[in-house]
Amino acid sequence: MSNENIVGKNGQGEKDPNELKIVEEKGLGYTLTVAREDILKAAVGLKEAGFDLLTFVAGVDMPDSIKLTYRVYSSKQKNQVAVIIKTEVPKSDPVIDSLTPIWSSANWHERETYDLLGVEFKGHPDPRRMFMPEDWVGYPLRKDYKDDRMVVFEDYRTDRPGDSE
Amino acid sequence: MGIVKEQMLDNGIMLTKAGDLINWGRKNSLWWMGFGLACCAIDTIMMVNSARFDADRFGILLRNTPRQSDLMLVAGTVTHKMAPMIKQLYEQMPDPKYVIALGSCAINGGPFYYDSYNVVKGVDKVIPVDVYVPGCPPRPEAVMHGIEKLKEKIMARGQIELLKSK
Amino acid sequence: MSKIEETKVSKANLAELEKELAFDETRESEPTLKTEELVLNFGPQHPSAHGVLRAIFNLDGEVVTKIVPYIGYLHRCFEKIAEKRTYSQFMPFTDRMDYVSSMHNGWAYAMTVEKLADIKVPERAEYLRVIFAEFQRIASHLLFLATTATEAGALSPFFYFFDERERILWLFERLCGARLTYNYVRIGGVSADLPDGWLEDALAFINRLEKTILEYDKLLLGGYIFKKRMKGVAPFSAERALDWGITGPPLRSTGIPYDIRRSDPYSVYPRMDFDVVIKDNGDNYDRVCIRSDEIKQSLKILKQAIEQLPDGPIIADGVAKDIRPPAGEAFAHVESSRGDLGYYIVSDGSIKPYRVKIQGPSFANLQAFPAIAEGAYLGDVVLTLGTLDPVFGEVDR
Ligand code: SF4
Repeated sequence: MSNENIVGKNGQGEKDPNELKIVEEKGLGYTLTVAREDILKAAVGLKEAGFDLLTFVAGVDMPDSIKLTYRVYSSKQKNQVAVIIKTEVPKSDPVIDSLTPIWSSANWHERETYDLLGVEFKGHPDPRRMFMPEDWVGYPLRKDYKDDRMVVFEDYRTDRPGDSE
Repeated sequence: MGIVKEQMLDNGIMLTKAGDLINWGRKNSLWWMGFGLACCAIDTIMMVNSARFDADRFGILLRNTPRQSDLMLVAGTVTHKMAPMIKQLYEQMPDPKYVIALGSCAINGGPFYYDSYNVVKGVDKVIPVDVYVPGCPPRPEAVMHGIEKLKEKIMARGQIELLKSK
Repeated sequence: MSKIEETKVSKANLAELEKELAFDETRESEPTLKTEELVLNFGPQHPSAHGVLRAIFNLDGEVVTKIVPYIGYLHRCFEKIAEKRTYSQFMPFTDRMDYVSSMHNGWAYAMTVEKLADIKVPERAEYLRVIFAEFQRIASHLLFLATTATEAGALSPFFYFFDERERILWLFERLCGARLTYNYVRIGGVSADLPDGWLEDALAFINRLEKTILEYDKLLLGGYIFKKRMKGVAPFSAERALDWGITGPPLRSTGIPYDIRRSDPYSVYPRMDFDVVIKDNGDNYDRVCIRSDEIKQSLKILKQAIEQLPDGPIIADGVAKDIRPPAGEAFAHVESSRGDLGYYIVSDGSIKPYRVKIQGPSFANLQAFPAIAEGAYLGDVVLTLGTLDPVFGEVDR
């Protein structure tokens, strides 16, 4: 399928062709990279274009930002495609719009990302921790997370700084 | 039966110690509560219940409430969030009570010993354990063996146990 | 005597009494009659919670009006552990995630790493993976049917289904020595070839199950009481199902043919001839029946796969123990017994993954549990939870 007809339908693509450009990336398939301010706009556009199933939200802790990845799938398109939305929030201010109003399933996925990586979702109906107890301190999936109860695996084959501290 | 000290076959009288007799009764009606937490629950708790391994024939019956059971099978990974519940359920069980830790996770955290911020390193950090059954998961036969070992342990406690519980 | 005669109700009185006691719909539905709301705690240790779910139910009489689930009682930090292990060291952990369908987990992870590192899997290994994945699906669905029947109060199906499941476990055990956590799929292939005589035994089992599953259908799904209990309970529409992100059999039971084996084909599934089973009501009964129908489709796939099984190597040549994929990202997914199971791996070019994100179908399905079960009777709520078939190793990860 051509890349335009996913976004072209709702007119979003015509207004700002550079912003909502879906490219094919190796290993991931169709990818759409947006700035964090545009996430809601992109999501609405995709939802209108028939992408009705959000399957995951992942956060990746980069040195000074947190990359967010969403995967949405369209059951309506004849060829049944999935698109991965990518965005980034700075670590100093990890806030982004919640997608819960668009896909209800974003609810738990966003809570999980908040719990493990400390990204705050603006407009989330239920912003609590998901897995950890309410009084837990810190965000465990961040690379600099420290915990006295955690026994770190000593691996001589490390080739990444900070692995065997 | 293993507890008979002296037998007078002529008049049908057997002599034994009261503690032994009570322990003999105890070991043959262990009612267990399954504490299925993770993978181990599927292969141990469910399997010993099913037709092939059939623990019922040893007098080991499943009760779903701690208040009616005297054996707790802890099968699976204990997390910091779950640990208080385990303690609470253990305290609800009537005396005398026994605990079997099934699987490496319940013994010391198993595969999740390293790098895991939420796993308790063994259920014995929370409640006392009588028998450990290793494996990841233990085979159902190993669970049976563990229960047999527990029976031996119950018999070995003898008179002292009886007096203490008074 | 006279007293007894006095208390005797004359015919006229009886008619009056009947009138008084008669079920009066208008009176029953009067809105002034209010019951007090009851709050009930469920779990985290509950024999039919399928693991360690805790939920708070708000009850209005017998009807559950609100459900708030709490999860995380089995959070074992897989994603953190993955960052500290090499690619192949993480392989055994995947089995412990969705422990009822371990093969699929290992496969999905291996597939993602292969995508990342551009490893080509030999054909025989692909076929072996399909065979074991389908056996695993059958085993998992049998376990599902057994537990659902038990929760509905039917105890004898438990023994039949476990008997069949045990036979699959024997086949697995002969192959890789383990009953539950197989560690069979390896990056680039599989760990062991078939032992002698294995295929014949597998075929014998397939032929046996083909017949017996029809009997079990009659025993459980055809039963009048079971139908009465399950039909029309907790229905879910396709739109809401998609909105809540359900995948797998619960989604297909609402009529959406979303099956990764067909919609994003992987491995050798395009060569197989099978149907994606769909139902249209999306109620409890459909969610149970669809599993039984999927077992039949899996048997069909198995027969074809065993017939087409080629000779050749079972693991790709030259896969290093510490593979070092180039920096990049990859996502791959398989259709596990519960739905769309995917791995998203970010590599920074070292021997350990930078980030592994697991997309667990149980997590997504459980999320919809309040939406599905609210408004049902208390007795049906646990059953509804059962039909979603969550496995908590995967929900909490
Ligand atoms: S010991 Fe192994 S099988 Fe048992 S709960 Fe732990 S990881 Fe799972």
